[in-house]
Amino acid sequence: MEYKKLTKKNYNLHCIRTDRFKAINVDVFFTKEVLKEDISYSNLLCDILVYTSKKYNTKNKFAIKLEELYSMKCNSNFFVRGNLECINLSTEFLNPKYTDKSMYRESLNFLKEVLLNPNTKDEEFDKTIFDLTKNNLKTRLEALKVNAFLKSELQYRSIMYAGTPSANSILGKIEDYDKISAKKLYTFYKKLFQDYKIDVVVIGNITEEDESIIFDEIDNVFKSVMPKPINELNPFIEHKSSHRVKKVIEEDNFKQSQLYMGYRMKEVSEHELHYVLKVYNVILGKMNNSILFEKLRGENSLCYFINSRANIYNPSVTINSGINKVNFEKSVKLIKECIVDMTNPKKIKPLFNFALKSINTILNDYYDDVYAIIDYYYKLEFENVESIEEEREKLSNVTIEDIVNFGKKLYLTTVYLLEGKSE
Amino acid sequence: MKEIKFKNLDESIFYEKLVNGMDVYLYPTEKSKNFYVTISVKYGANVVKYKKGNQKTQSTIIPGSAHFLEHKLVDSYGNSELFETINNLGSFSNAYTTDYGTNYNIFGSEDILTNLKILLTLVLNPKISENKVNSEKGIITEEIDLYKDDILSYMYEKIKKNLFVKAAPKYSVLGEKEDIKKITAKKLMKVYKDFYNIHNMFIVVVGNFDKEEVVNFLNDYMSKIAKYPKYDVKVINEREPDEVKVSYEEIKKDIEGSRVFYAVKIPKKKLPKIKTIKRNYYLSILMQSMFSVSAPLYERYKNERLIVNLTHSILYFGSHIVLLIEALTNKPQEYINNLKKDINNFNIDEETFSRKKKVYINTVVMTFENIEDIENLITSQLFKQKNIVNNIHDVLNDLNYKEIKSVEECLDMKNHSIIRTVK
Repeated sequence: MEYKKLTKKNYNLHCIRTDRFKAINVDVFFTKEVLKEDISYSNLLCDILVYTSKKYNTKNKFAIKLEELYSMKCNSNFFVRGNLECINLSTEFLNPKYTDKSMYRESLNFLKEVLLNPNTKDEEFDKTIFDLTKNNLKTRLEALKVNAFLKSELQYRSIMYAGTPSANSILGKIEDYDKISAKKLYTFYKKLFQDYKIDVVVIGNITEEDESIIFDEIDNVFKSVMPKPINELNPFIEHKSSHRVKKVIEEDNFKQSQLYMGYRMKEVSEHELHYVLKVYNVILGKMNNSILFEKLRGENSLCYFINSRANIYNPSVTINSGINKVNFEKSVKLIKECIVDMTNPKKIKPLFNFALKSINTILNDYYDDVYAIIDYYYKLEFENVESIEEEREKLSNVTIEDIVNFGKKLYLTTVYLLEGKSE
Repeated sequence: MKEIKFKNLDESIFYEKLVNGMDVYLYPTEKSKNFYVTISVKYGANVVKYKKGNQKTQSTIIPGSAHFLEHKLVDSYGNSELFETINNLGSFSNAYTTDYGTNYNIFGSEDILTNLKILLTLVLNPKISENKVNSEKGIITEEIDLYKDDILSYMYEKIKKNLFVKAAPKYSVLGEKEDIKKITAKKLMKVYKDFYNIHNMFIVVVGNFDKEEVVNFLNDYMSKIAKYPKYDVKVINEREPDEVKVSYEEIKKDIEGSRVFYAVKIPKKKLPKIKTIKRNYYLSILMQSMFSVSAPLYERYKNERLIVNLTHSILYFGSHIVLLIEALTNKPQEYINNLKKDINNFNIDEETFSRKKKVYINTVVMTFENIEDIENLITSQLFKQKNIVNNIHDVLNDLNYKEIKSVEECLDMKNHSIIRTVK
């Protein structure tokens, strides 16, 4: 894998040459500090940009063009990572050696069309397409009410992360969409090229000759773009949360109950946040025989799934399980016991080396995952991310003592139950 | 070792019959650092009645047994030493059951031979006691609730139930809670003995490994275990009527948008006698030409606000094929009325047919992008047929307009079942 970064006056171009993949991926990232009011705009813009364009001004024309390009993928995605939000336009097309050499220029021209030539007229998005996209998005949001996972997750996040950007629903609120007009959205679209930091990541089996074609085409897309100078962007949230436990139980019509327990941590070092937390989380709730899995499913048959996840951007550990409501108190008690077990070296020792090996396998998977590689180089713009091999080395230096000491810094802040009907 | 070459892709899969008759498929590659080893049994949820060898009486299986058996074979609680070794190697084990088969797998990066040995030990040496079966019932009940809370999974199981009168697809893979209560260790062991025979199983190994070393190891392992008698298990499929069982049903859900499943049941015997793989491609292209985003019907329905989302799939069940169209809509009745009128008007043109072939070229090339997809390609084919299709490019080239029109002419879309959510 060969990486090079070209710093242009208006954007950064990251190029990764590797023979690992059969497709070429070109991802464009627009990043800025998260703003609650922009979430619904960003979601709607993501949808409308890949629905039609000026040249391909119906859904059919747009989709047919993608099929003609040997089923090129063109997707958009809005995500929030700590203090930052990002609109990501992601394209993937077969390496032209499997199709036709002209596909490089044709595929990149399509990307250019999507980004620079949206379906607009008189400084606003096409009214019909705008209304259609907005209504579709609102209905999709409404329909998510019957998704137990998403509903409980959003609710939990709003409680656990109250007062920080992570508490906002990533999908926006239905009432916010009502306030957006085709004109306002177009004004927001124009900001993409002014207020956002722009990064383009290209990855694939690219020859030197191909590289110059790709670079030319990408430069064509961004040469007229003039973003304002942007302050340094920092994704990490600093937040002091209260030690008081918030316990919320809500009823719903689902069969299964969704239990969440959220833990914050006090005064953790960089080493703890970036390395110890990762190993801790694997032992607690990610590996085959994690502490949580063994206690709740193995010994007590209380659930089908239980897992934990770590958040380094808004430092916390979240435990999630699908349970029967009659087992709520027992499950909470056992999870609390698991957190105590994580401060006991005797409990951790038998799992410690296994956790490091599991992490090794997970890290190896990075080389097979084109999106993980793209994300790695994108993240480099905002964080001191080490290479996977450096990370592997640092993780292997974590000790049992580190895990125990880190475990003692965790405190419970949130217990949330979306209570189902099954008994 | 036989090499199965994939034309135009520079890819090969290797096949070996082991000393005891078990089939092994290998895809060695250095492009990945990990490996993925799986053992599959050609026994899934679709088997409810069968006859073994020359036995005169039929045996009946409780729905949900295949999935229950899968849980018990990879129960970490009863195989703690083996799972400790899996964890010690940093590997991840999992299993799944489909209508057609059951798959046991380990994903890892260290010591493939030990991983294989563990997987073989788990699958070939069941430890199933009445006690363990009873303790698993709580876990599976939670899993059933989890799937029932997912509206799309729930509707999928429901539509199968409404389409099929006698045949096994009417049962869900997990079974119902009442079925689970009836399952005993003795019943599971009978199923195990009758279906978990190495002549009814196959091994797939993909990723970073030495194929000679793996085959030598497997031959050595197999030569040391008891011989499996070769006998026929005849799965008894109830003669399924062509008509659907329930043509319309409403499900109460408190959401604004309505989910609609429109399924057409087509007897295979009514389709032209074309090679199965080609027939399936034709059906897929026809469905795409009608319901994908590049289809005129899709555009029209979107513009008339009849749909928010529209997806389609094809399901193959014994003597029948099911064409399934799923929609999220704000105007359910209007959508259903329109679809009833439009659904017979396939009328694919030559240009669309040629363009759709390009889409499949992408799919074929991209299958070889990651090792799990390659395993899935092999396993999903072997669950339904005897051999792996390696000439997909030739098959695609061989597809012709005249033939697809003959399939189109035979499609009778009147025999349908509809389920929809109502507020």
